[in-house]
Amino acid sequence: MPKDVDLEATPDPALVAAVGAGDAGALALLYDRFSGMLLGLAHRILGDASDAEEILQEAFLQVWNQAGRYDPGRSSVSTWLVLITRSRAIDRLRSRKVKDRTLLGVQQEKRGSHTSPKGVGDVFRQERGRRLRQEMALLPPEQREVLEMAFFRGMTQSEIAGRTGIPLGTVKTRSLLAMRKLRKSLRDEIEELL
Amino acid sequence: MSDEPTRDDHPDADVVERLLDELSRGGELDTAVSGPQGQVHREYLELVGLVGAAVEPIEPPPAIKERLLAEVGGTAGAASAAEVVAMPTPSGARSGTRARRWALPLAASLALALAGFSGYQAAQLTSQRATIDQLSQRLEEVEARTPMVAAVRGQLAVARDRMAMITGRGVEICALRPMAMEAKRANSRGVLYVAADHQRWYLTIEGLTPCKKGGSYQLWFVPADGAPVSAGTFDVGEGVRVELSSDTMPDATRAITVTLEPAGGSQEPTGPAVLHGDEVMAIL
Repeated sequence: MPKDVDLEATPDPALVAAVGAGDAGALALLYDRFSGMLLGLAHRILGDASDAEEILQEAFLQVWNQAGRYDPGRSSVSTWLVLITRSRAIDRLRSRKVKDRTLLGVQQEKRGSHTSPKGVGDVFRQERGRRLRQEMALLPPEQREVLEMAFFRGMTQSEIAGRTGIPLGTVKTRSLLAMRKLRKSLRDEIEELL
Repeated sequence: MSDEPTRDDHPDADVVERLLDELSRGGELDTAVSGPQGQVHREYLELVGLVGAAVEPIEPPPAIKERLLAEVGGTAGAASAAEVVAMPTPSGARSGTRARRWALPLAASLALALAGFSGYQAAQLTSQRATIDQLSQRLEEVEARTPMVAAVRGQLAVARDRMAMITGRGVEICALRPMAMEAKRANSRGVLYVAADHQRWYLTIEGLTPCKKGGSYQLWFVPADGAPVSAGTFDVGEGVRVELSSDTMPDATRAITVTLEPAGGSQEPTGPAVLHGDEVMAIL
């Protein structure tokens, strides 16, 4: 990046492009922007701080190595990073074969470890996170449950049906209704990412 | 019969099912979907990303970043934007073995040196400190050129005062969200910092487009009861971040709004609201 560029104000896609060009400073700033959220995600999936921190580092190393493959036309940077981190965390979860233990971790989601905002962008990311949690909490419990099992535990809809004893068709319908409700209630947030 | 709609009634059912299937398989999602369902797929994909972002964030230990940067050949100092831009990028785009040979010992040394120091707090203040560092360096450079010294000293004092204010105990912040469609498209946003005395404030705004000829932006403090109080007008340059501050704020202010007004401003808001904020949170 040129010296006179204010990295702090650099949009996420440009930051990823800089990472793709080998700019370690851009990677550091990308880390500052998203690491808190991604560590929270990895911890939510794995239920273990040490594993979650390893996943976070692995995810950013993957970003470093594959930033050139990022296509802003396909997804926002935030979503790209979420998918990378989630994918690694789910792989780790499966390799550990400790899903039951993790279920407990999901139910006992760590609280009180929030981060404080580090800048203008961080204020908005944190505010958005609060709003997302609010909207998730507003879902009917049975819909939220299937969505969380699919997203945070990597379970197929058939596995969810087997685990909960709910007919597969009902699982699919609940998943669809949950996604549709969130899509509607988070319309503004989604448009900001498009 | 269930009251729930059947999946066949809705064209987005296939998109959602496909996404959930991909999520359960792990690995990378197929994010390239074209055709009529492409937009719907993209929206649901971003929704998946938002679900992932709905978790409570956790502050990572500083050592993770140290290890990461050591691995890629950066340094701990890369955490600072100001230091980042001044740091030469290794040639060949990717760091290699050569970089790692010195990076790992350096990271270890830095980790020891930083023991007991709160990297968490340092990161929080990076932006402000970078500004002060830059101004201090610039001050030294222009010491010989007397006419510029006073101006730079003034900027430095303002920056220091501002950092003291926004990092002070009891400071509150209020995020300004875009209201007008154009502002939403431009991803305009702002953050108001209010000192514990509820008088001193500092406002930073990003993403506002320059006013058309004959117009200007006007800032309003909105009290719980009563008419909005003007805090002045301003215009912006393309891509320029606006920074406004003052030592006074009307009592009982409950919201802040930026409207588009005729050049010179109005006695009361007449134009469309461009940015608005009314949710306050304490950060320190």
